[in-house]
Amino acid sequence: MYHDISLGQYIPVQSTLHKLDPRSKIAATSILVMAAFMADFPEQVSLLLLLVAVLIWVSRVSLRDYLKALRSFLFIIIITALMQMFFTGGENLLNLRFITVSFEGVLAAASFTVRFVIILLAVRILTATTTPMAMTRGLEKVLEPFKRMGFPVHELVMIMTISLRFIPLYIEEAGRIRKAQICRGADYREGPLVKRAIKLTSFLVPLFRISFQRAGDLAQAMEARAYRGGEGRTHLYRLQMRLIDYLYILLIAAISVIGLY
Amino acid sequence: MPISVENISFVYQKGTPFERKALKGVSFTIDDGEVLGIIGPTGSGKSTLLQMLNGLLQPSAGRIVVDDREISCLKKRELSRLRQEVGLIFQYPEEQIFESRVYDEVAFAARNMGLASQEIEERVKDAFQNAGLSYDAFKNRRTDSLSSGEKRRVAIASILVLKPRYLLLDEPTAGLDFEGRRALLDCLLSLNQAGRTTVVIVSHDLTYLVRVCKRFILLKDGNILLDGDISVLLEHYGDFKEQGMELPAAYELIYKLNLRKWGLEPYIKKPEEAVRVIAERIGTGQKKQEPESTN
Repeated sequence: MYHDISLGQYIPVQSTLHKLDPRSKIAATSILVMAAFMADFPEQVSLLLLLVAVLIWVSRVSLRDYLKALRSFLFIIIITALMQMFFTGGENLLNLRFITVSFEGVLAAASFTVRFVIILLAVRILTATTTPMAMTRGLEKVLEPFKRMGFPVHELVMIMTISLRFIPLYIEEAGRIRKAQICRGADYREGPLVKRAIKLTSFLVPLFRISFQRAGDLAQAMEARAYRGGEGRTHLYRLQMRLIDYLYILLIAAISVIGLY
Repeated sequence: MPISVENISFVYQKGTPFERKALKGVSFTIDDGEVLGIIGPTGSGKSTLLQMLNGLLQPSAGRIVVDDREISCLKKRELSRLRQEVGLIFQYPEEQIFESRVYDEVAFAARNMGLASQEIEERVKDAFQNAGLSYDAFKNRRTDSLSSGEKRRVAIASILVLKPRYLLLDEPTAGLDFEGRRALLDCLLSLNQAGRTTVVIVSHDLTYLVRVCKRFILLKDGNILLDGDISVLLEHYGDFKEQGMELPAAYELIYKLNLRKWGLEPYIKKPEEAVRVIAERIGTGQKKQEPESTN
């Protein structure tokens, strides 16, 4: 069960999208997400959906990975769509005893669903084609202007990098501790709630202890390597925007803007 | 009754780009009262195999039968019963310690079994003794005041309290100093001899395994390369030395002398015995006259 956390995971295949500069992908994704909010339904929204479909094809990541990302939001999508359907006033389409469904409601639900799916897929394309490292480097660069306003961009991005790096480790460790305690007869799934909560300490206490220990070790290791924040820090691999990156942003922006005015 | 492993495979993250075969059709049996060492380099599938023996992982193909019960057919309750009989001690087991008092830590598994408090206390006492800890001195100690070797033994006691008939250990001596290592191995040996517990140790460190194990299985990339006693290991030592496995100097010496047709018996436990075996051979003038009577 712990191995199935591919949500937002980088998928290492070769494609044009994988080779793009992270900044251009971040910019393009932001434009796409904004466009998905502002576009008219259904003409423009379908155009965006088509664009996302093309990007999925270009990314060479299997469709199953995208569907998995959608599946984990399925519940939210359905609930929200139903709410839209039932609580939007207008011309009555269907009249059950307690609830009425309006034509406008159905339209609103469809509009919301497609927009939400576009946004989810756009973000998934970004995370599937960009390594966490490239992503944080890209974000740091994109957010650089805020540094002048005294915003600790480097530190925040460093926190993000470390968290991203450590999540898989914690999942592995959590899995191991869980298994080890199961070997000692701990059952986290059965029994009264209070008893289960108490049993959970046998899982949480070791996990927290390991986490704090690791945080301390990491801080020490960083200091031993003379880390002292982002001031004057250089990078081994520099990000390089190429022509194709600019073209990519331009293309996405152009398609997103078509018909907005 | 033994554990029999029949042609099992295991695939991690099946159906993703991260798919990895950890085991590829492995078969063997573990007899009652045996001390088996499973050796092999990192990533050879040792730990995966161990976790399958008590049902924490289910094989992707093949089957494991423990005392006539096929693991994949067991219901939840039967599975937890099985895990009491097949105790598994993970690598760095001291990481699981969560109680503040040593007694409570060791009693955790027994309490989960729903035993009466008298029975729990008796089991805890036994577990302390079997793990080489003095009950009176340790029962009220705080777990965070223990040394790392003591923590390891407390963690092992917390599995022994289940009174398992099979004891599986994953790298039990990792990170222990010489003294802690010796104490731990002595405790395993006495469990095996006095309690007739079947012991399976997974490790990549042969130097201490040869002291306790009578049989070895060498895993490499999910396949069994070797299965046999020390003489089989020595016979193929040249091959698996290339895999980065190393035997203690005494065995290496016997191996090298046997390459020159000395015909020495490899069943030794200590360097001193190797010296004796070699001295006897020199004494008999390098000729094979009568069968050796080494033990």
